Amino acid sequence: MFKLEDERENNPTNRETLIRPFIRFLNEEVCWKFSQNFVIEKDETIGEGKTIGKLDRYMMNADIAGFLGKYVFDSEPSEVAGSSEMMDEIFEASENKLAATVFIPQYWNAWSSI
Amino acid sequence: MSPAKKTDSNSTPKKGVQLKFKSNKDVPKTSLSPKKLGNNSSVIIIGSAFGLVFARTTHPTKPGEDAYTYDAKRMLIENPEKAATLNCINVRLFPIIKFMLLIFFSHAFYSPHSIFRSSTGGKKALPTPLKFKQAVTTPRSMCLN
Repeated sequence: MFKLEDERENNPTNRETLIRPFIRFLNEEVCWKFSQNFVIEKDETIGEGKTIGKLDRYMMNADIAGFLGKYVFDSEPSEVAGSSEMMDEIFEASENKLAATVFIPQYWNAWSSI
Repeated sequence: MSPAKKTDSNSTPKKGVQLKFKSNKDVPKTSLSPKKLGNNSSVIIIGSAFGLVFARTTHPTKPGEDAYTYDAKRMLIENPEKAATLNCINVRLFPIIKFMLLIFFSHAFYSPHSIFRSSTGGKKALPTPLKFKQAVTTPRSMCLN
């Protein structure tokens, strides 16, 4: 998982620019038992702009809460979980929105120790 | 003065002369041997909300399987500074059984039909506008799951 700097828009060009050093790392700095070559194949991002794929499409509940608590919000987890506007930004599935009031506070600090 | 004897380039070689071709066996295999073309491990990029970008790999010859990246993940976990320079904030390094257990328990507890799920409270009022954290320039260490 990688994070774009806040001022950078999450568009295909910036995503590729972000991943290029990682590809270089895989190809040039890792000693593989059997040689392999990594290449960027495609960008599978769903939609663009505000319709970009939400977090629950790709992450487990505990990781969503941990990521939000460590990198995104300074607010209290209960405030975030109680905001229907933010829930719409984070989740696609209605089941996850319903469960968020429980697991967001529970796993808010899950990433704080890593 | 007799004219120089012309040699015909198209003439067939004399019988008895056998041409030798290099065989593949003569080329020593080393780690410096050129990589086979078309045998690349693919990296697929997926963007998500809040500036999050996922990179996943696929095996060059086995469709549906991840590429072998364990060594790279270990390096990133053991060297957080290197991970930070790559803007890498987390690495997934699941033994498959642990992953399956995690999926099972996650669904068991968070599915709306789960027998373990407790009832949620009432509807809450909207909070005051949320304050976003400052840009994270040096992500900290990775987790070893």
